[in-house]
Amino acid sequence: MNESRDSTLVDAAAAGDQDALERLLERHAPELRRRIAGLMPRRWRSLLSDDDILQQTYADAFLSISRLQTRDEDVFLSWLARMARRNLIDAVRMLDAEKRGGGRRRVEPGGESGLALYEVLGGTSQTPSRQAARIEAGQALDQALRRLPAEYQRVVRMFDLEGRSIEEAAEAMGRTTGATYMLRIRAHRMLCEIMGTESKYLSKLG
Amino acid sequence: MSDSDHNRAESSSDRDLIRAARADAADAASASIEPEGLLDLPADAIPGYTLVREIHRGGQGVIYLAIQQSTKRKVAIKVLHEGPFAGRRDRARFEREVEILASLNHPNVVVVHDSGRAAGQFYFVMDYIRGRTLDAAGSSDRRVDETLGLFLSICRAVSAAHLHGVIHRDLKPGNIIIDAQGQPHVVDFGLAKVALGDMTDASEPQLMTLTGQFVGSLPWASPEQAAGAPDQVDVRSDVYSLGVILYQMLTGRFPYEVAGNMRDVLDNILRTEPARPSTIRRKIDNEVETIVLKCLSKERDRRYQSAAELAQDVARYLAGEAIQAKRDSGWYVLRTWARRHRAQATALVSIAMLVLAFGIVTGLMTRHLARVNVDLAGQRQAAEAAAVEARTQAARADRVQEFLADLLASPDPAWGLGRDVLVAQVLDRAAARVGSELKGEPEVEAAVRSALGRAYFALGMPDRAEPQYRRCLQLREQHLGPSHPDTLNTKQNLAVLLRNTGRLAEAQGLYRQAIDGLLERFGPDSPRPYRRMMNLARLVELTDPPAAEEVYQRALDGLERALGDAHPDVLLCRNHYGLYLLKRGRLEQAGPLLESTLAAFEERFGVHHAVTAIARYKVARLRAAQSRPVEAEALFTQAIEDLQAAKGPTHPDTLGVRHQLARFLLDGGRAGQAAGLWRDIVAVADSTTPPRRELPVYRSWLGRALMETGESAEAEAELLAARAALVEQRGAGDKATIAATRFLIDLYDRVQRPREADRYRAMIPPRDSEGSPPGGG
Repeated sequence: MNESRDSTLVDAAAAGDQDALERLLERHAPELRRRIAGLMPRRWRSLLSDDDILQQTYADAFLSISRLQTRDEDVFLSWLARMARRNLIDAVRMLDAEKRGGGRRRVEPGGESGLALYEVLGGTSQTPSRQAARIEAGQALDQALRRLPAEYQRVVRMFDLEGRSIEEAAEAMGRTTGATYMLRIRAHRMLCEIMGTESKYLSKLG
Repeated sequence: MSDSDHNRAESSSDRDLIRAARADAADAASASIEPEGLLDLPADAIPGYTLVREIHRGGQGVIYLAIQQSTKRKVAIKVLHEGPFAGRRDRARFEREVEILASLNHPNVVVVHDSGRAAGQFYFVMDYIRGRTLDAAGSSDRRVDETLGLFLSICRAVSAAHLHGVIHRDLKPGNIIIDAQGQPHVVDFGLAKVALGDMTDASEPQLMTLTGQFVGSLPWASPEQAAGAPDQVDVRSDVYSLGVILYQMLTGRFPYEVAGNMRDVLDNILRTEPARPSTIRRKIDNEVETIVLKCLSKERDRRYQSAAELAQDVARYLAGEAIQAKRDSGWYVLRTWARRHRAQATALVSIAMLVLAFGIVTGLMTRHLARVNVDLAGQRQAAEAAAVEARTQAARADRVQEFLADLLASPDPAWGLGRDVLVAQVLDRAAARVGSELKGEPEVEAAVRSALGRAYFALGMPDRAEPQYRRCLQLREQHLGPSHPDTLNTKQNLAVLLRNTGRLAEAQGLYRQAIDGLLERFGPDSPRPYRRMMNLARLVELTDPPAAEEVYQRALDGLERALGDAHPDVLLCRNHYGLYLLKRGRLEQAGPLLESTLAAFEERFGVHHAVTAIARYKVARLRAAQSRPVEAEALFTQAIEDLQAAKGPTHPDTLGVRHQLARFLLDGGRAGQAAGLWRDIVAVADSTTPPRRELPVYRSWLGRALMETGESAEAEAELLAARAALVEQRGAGDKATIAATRFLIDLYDRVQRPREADRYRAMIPPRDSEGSPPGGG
């Protein structure tokens, strides 16, 4: 049997068999690693490793395998590689933004600069009813934060809300800086999802 | 490392990443669907927290998952049973647990954030660790090295408690939680005691009640706990429990029967020797078995004496080093014997080396045959050819075996000397015959020559090792290619030899070639070239200190990029770089590097590990340079104690650090103490076979100290002997030789013998005549 086209394993993985997915990921790990090797810009290699990107990609795979439509193993690999590239791009964007000083603000949910994180997450506060929007966005953010896993909350609170450096956050959480960056990306994505569903309850912006 | 090893390592790393990702994903997926549990307290019973559900009910109290209202953080709150009606002893024990946990600060020990009493309920708030207990996590299907890696973290957490004088006394898999990242956390210090505490303290939990009922967790209890002897319970009791845990992690079973009536179980703990773990799981090797069985010794004195000592041995095993437990039982005995019977020992060593050479050759053949077997599974035609090749190789292996066996068995004048046979003669015979008898089999010849080179080098005969290495290198370059790992290893071995014999320029050239080869073969993202670069930096530092800085920085950048911040190789490189800066007088840059790496080593390897001891010695030098002599001396002393325990008194590192302490004493005007210390160092360095290479350096400094104490005649004798030995060993232009010469000049100036002073002054090469103070760093 040609292992690279074992649709049974993809079937099982998509049906929720996590051991099957683990085997599938292990099988494609070398190729995935090869595909993203060298894509990380040199300037960020001291902060972020290929392993950080891969771990995030594997976590995404576990979380979203049920949405995979195909049963073709080659398509599965392309799907995986796309997620890996997206993770890499997100990570590089975040690091570049921080270098420019735009991705990093000390904010308080609901405080004067309470919309900063909301803006970082992709919302906007350019609105005539800014005051009302700020209060609501702050409350929404606060509620969304509570729904994050504990570690996600910690990294957002430490980094985005308390203004601690990523190294300090990493040390406090017992993780590497690269893993902490990736955790923050994940936390932001989840916040976006939660905020997205809640934004309908906010005052109309703009 | 071969390619297949490299691939294996990479696939193992991928597997780890996938498993960690799976745990992360499970964590994220379950975050928003936290199951509701029953509460027997109102959700707002503890001010500032909202109780969510009960997560554990133990003998002493109930643990709840709660949300801290101010931070929305998940926490665990332990509430004492019976609330306001709890007895005095229970309350005191509860408070003791809070105090103990609050005093511990270790990433693998749960952290206490808050405690108090509300509405009659005693409670304390700690980290909520999402994960599974060690028993629920199922560990016997992990690989042995994975199991040991996890166990090492557990040992370090327990060791942190021991260092605070706290004995857990209830270690078991149920009290160890593995979090989503796979990190263990030791919890439930409810039965812990403070080692130096008052035994009659009301809060002191009794392990055996008046009715003989055992309190605690019997299957993991030590013999002294089982015997109901609380006065004998100490940190070694925790070591025993750790042994039971490790046994379970490795085999999935208890070391003895723990089911049945309590009398039988107690009897088993007290008297039944554990079944050897390797009889249950064959992959458990002899060293791991030794570690487990040492923990499980019925006699406390024969166990590891602390969790730190146990952790050190586990770390040694994982690093591929010889474990201490093994040395106590085998190597230590052999060494003691060797000290008494030097001649027999040397013969024994020679045989061992030849057996080693044979082992390498056999390994080569086996690998080759394995490749051939793979081929056999391919095409039939290729299989036939491979079979012929296999037979040829097998025949060669037989010839090598025959060659070595014949060498040892054939009559030789050297054997006639009986016990006085010299290792060199046995090795020389092998060296003389290997060229002719293995001609036409370059890989085999190279392997044997490499082993012979290492044997000669280990025995302090670099002049005989060198031609073996050079021929081996030539063969490997020709037949394997210049960037083959075996070729690069030979270059590294030869470079070490050249460095140790003072040919620094050639050694540097070889290191650079090896680095280029590694870069070419493994690429700039592999840590391998940068490990060599770190060694190169240390070498460059000897000849051209300013140029070494760039090499250190490149090595450090490369290692950090390849391995991350916390890898031991990165820490080691920072530590070397820190010492470099210290020697250049750049204390402000050196300080943070040396201090942070010491803290990291303490954390990673334990406070008494040899690596930590070396890092501590460097901080001692830093303190000395910062004019903080009291701290410096204390750090020196501890570093030496730890090195003596870890590496033995004759090890070059132990002697080197003692030498630096003596220099520190001399600099502080304590020449008498320094001289006493150097006398001892000289005696120890002279007691090995062959004597330690640094012996003449130590003698020259002994002479220097004696000069200060006014014992001029003895000083002169030491200095003359030291200088003569240094000239022979390293040449007249070597730094150490020049230092010894300067000491002599100082001496003759002091005792007003200007003709001798001038005679030695003339022996110093011109460029060094106005150089730095004698002795160097």
